Amino acid sequence: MNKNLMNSILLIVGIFLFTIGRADEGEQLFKTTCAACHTIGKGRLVGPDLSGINQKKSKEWLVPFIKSSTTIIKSGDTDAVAIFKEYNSIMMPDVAYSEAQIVSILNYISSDRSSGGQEQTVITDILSGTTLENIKIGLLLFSGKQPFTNEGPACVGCHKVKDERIFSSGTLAKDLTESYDILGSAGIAAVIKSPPFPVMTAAFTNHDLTEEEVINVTAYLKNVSEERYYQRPTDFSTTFAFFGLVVFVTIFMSTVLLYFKRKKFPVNREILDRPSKVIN
Amino acid sequence: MFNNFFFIGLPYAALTVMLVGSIFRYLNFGFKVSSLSTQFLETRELFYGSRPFHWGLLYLFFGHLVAFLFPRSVLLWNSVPVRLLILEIVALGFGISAFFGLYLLIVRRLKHKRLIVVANKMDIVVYVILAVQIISGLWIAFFFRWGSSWFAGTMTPYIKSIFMFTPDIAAVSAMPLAVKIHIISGFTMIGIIPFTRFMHFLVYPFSYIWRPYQYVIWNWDRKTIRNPKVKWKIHKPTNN
Repeated sequence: MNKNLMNSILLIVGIFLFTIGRADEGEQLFKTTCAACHTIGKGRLVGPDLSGINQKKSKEWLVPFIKSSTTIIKSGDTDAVAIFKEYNSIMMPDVAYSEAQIVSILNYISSDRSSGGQEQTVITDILSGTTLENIKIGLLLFSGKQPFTNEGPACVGCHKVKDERIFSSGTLAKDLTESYDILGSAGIAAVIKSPPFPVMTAAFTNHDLTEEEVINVTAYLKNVSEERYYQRPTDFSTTFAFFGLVVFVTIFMSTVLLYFKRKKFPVNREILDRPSKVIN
Repeated sequence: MFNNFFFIGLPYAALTVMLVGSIFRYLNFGFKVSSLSTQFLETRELFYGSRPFHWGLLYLFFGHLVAFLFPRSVLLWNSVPVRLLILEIVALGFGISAFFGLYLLIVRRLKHKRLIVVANKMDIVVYVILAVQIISGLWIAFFFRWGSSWFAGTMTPYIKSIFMFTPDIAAVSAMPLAVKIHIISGFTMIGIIPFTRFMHFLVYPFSYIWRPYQYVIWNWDRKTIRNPKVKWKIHKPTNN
């Protein structure tokens, strides 16, 4: 076979495989990172529906915005600020993707068959049909009293909610009291299933929640949101610090008591007196 | 860039320097592997600083180690709120203890001229790095609760990824400033071990626990001993 022809075929096959690879990468990245908050043609979740986004905005605008929306919003870009305000002022986390990877995501959005003005899918509320039992289990899961099936850490380790039934809320991450008002059940479920926040992603890698657990925790958070006006949880910060000080005093006193017969001075008077004893 | 430098570069540099430096120092200057005690120069204040400081640090060191080695057990322990509170409150108590002890030790060092004379520059570095480490730790314990829970879920995978040579810094990069400072000063502390008094924790005299008894004869009454005409008497050893 002609050597040039062979090279051309190999080149075409290479480009073809590379393109397929890119498309796959875009799909994979979309599903792991974006799908928690966005749909393609299935309505808004935490963020906007991305169907037709490539027609609405140029790549030159989209790529830096996806890379670091915080930077673009802070720079005062009118469109970015408008989107930010429209979607409850929830900042989209920055992503550490290369320009090529972001373009592959945008290409996937363009190629996805569900987009492009097709029939809108009606989203059913995942909480329809939930009962008090779901809220009860959700509370147990949230507080860690009932462990998650796949051994994920309890929500209360990082999150706070205004609920008298929970008196040891974490304060590392967001207060989730109003999460249901902001995100809705679909948004909460999406975030739990595929967290767009790096710390939460790390905590739940290989510890995914089951569908049922997602529903229970979401039901509980809805309940927290509805009941928040009647809740008067005590602030544990002062008590925590107070008991910490009590423990410290105990440790300190223990050391003093344990070493009561210690050598209290660098040079023992008795040793200093010995030569004189010998002389006399 | 910032994150890559501090959470990938620094840990590897620190661990390498610690490993190579400690072995080098131990093999070449074995007798200098110590914390150079100043107890002889000042004892009374040393006790009130050193005891709470070391007790606090020991608890916190092993606390971090257990959370790293057995994250699932820690999460299981924390699943009962009262147990979580006990763990966190006790940890805070030991943290305050370490802080209080360090404060007294620094004051003591500055107060007594004879202690300043025997202090070297690296001792000052040790005080600064310990202060940063303990203050940032207390800051985290109080404002970013509950460390024992989220450490197991986020920090353990990070540290594990460092040791597996597949560093994953996504989670630490998104952590609050206090946590970042705590991690950075922690690794810096590891890195300066061979150049400072920190070395002494590597040569803790564990053999004292199982070594045989030593019979110590305290010849305190020299006059009697030296008189050949008088028969030797066995005295009860009296040290202090």
